[in-house]
Amino acid sequence: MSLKYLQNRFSIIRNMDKCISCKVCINQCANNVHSFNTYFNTVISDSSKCVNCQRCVLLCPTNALSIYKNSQTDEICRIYSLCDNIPYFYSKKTPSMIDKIEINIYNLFKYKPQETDTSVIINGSLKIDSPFLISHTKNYVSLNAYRSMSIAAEKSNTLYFIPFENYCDNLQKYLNNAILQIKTCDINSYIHIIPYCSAAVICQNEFIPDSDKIVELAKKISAVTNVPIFAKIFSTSDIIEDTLNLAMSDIKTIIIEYDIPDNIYPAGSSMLPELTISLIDKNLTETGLRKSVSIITSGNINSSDECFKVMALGANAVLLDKPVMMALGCHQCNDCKNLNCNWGISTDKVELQKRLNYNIGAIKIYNLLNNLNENLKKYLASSAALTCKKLVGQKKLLSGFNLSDNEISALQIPYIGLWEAKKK
Amino acid sequence: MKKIYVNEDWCINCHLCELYCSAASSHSVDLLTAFKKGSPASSKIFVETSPFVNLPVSCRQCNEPLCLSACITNAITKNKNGIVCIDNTRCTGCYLCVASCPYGCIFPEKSSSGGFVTKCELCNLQFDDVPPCVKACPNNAIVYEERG
Repeated sequence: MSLKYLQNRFSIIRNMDKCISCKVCINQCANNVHSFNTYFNTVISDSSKCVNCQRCVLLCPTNALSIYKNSQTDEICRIYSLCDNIPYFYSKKTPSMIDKIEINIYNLFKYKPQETDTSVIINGSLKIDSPFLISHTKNYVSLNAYRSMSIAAEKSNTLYFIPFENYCDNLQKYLNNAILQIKTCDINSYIHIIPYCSAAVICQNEFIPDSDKIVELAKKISAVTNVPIFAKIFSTSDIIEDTLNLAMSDIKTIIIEYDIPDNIYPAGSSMLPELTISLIDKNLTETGLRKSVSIITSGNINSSDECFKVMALGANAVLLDKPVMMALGCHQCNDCKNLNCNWGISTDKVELQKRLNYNIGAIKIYNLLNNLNENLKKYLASSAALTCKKLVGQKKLLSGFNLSDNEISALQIPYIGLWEAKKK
Repeated sequence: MKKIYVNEDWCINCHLCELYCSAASSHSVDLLTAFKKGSPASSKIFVETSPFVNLPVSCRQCNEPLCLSACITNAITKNKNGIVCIDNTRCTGCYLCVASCPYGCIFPEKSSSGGFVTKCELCNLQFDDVPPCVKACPNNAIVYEERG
């Protein structure tokens, strides 16, 4: 960090009974927080430089270090527990004790768990095994991170996003499951990469301000290649007209983005994800275009129950951005603004990029997707819809989720069963 | 035979392998007691650092070890598993093996316990186990595997 904060945002607490002066924390810190004091013969730390990347805490061999901060950490801990749990079919181990017990219970009561299917077809022909697509939140992500995303996407048969600005020639081998994000109208710069990818997405931004421009650009690209083309639009008040406009043209997949940059629309102009999706779903079914169009939504989806909710409201697939970054090691310290990521994810320094071994990253992303998928299967089995295809647009399945009356009326969820009697 | 190999592209210079190696050979319960109570045994793996590359080096268990032919009392032998071992009862502390090793992987022992010299003997592992230096590496730079 170049500037010091007036008051320390985080405090490092070093347990001197446990510290063995091994200097691991000094070697691995990119912000020079820790240093060795020769006078006292101990390692000391300067809390004012700390950005809370939690790397020294994780690597300390004797658990002598801890960093305290003010905001809540529960969400972060939950996602880490998902990606560190290595399932037995990936590591080729024998089934664990718990799996055996579960199988025995099923045999004992002659009960079979209902078969569920989480595979999803987007754009009419692209089949993926789970409704989760791999994305990322940072502006700049290193080559090793893209490698691990591509390996994980290939293993679990989904797709991952790669912006054209971050593309380099070393990535050409890893483009099998990639969706190329396009932000400029200059076709000649990226037209030679598109045939290697499985899809391309045209993003709305200051150069491509509205849906007419997107349709125009998509026609130009599809004249040259036959790779499917998606559109990514912002969730503003114009979104319904935009989706209908795009659905009338050749574009069959629409990605909805809620994180709107301030230079195009005023701050706070984005709509709520739930409301946007239910409105789009309603308008598309009324015009009879719903079956030919697939909707993919972003919007801070961190768990399978959020995915279930959004799919029941009408989305076909969801983007995972923050959890994927956290699986790679991100601790949300926001030091990526200076491209100084301690974990080697969002950095251009070679010595920091080394810290992300793409094989480990791929295993963690794969575990995250797998565990989220298993959880989603449990939700599907407990609801009436057993497959993801049946789940899409079934708003009445949400009536058992303990929503308030305001939410039910805003999302237009039909009352069923006891709820209907209660209303009368 | 399974050996310890290093991929220097992933070494991040954290020196955790050295710590866990010396803790494992100190016969203590855990790393904290090994370093806090008494002097720990010296490490059998050493991370060579430079501005360009970091490389952890440990004994390569050579097919024709130079240290074995240099030893004047036959204290260094190759056992049936192919691991080069030191017999501390025979060692006289002449340090000829330290001088003869081309990789610099035999170290004079610093702590009072044990013999005069020390080297990696793969921790006398059981069949399906992994050495502590390999387990400790946070970035999979050190691997324990069989190569042709």
